[in-house]
Amino acid sequence: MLSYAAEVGKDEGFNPPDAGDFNLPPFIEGNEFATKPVLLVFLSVILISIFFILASRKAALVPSKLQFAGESVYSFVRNDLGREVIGHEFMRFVPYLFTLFTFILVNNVFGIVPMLQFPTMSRISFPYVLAAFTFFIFHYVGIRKQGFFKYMKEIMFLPGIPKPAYILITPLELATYFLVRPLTLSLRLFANMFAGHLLLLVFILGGEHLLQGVIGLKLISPFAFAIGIALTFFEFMVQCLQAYIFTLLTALYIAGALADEH
Amino acid sequence: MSSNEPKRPSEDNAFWTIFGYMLSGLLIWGGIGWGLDQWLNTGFFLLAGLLLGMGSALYLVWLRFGRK
Repeated sequence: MLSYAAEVGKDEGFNPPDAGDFNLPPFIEGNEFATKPVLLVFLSVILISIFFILASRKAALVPSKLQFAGESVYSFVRNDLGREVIGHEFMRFVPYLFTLFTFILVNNVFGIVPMLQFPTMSRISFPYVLAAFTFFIFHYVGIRKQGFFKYMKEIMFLPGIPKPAYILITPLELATYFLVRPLTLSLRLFANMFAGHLLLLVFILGGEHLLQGVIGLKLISPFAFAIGIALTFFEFMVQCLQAYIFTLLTALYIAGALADEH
Repeated sequence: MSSNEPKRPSEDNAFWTIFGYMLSGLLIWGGIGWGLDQWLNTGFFLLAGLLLGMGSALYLVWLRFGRK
């Protein structure tokens, strides 16, 4: 933060946090891949692997606390997101949904973990890649299931409407399936994480700055910190919700591609 | 998880489907209108496109969710 302000040459007073605060410089000079978000992604994979390996290693009929925690997450994704949404073919997709959910969840929650405190998904490339996976998977599933031409016909021609209306409707359906779906999927996740992190930065850095002011400002500072803490809990909720929504919509798109008729 | 309510997702998430249709309506027809404006040096095709897009998106939403 300070180094960034010095770099840009901002003046002495309070510099409100902005998009530049998400541009973390690489910690190995000259290596653009050695940045905090990349490190966090690897850390998340390690943490998730360790957690679920430990949770499932000594699977017992009467589960330990760890096993219970792991199984709760798994059965939540399998039952509430897989079976409820996709239907009888759901088991094929549970591995992907489960990976997606845990990966996004852990990377989001990094935003409020002390010392880490950066939501990986506030760098837009990560949501883009995840949305691209979902995009290719649900189209692939649909094409495999129905054949390319039938699948495209399903998308483009809604049955039972007058012929001229297709001029209006078909471009919309195409745009929805091939443009708007992946875009909204990634932007929703990105924007939520970006805005949430910025909000926390405003209140906590602002509170810190108030502390350095005159006595009157010092007295206000605790309120800024209090709001910062309250927002941290709020952020936790948003982070979980966004992981859930991303996975839910992925399941919905797969379900839509599998369905024979809309 | 009761098996007699399999339609839960479509009820629950109609919101995002509708949102997607509205957005693509504005983007596609608004985009076409904007392109026509650029090409013909006019100013009203963008507005016409946006309205047409909104209208057809609403029509599509009605087709999907309204009629039974």
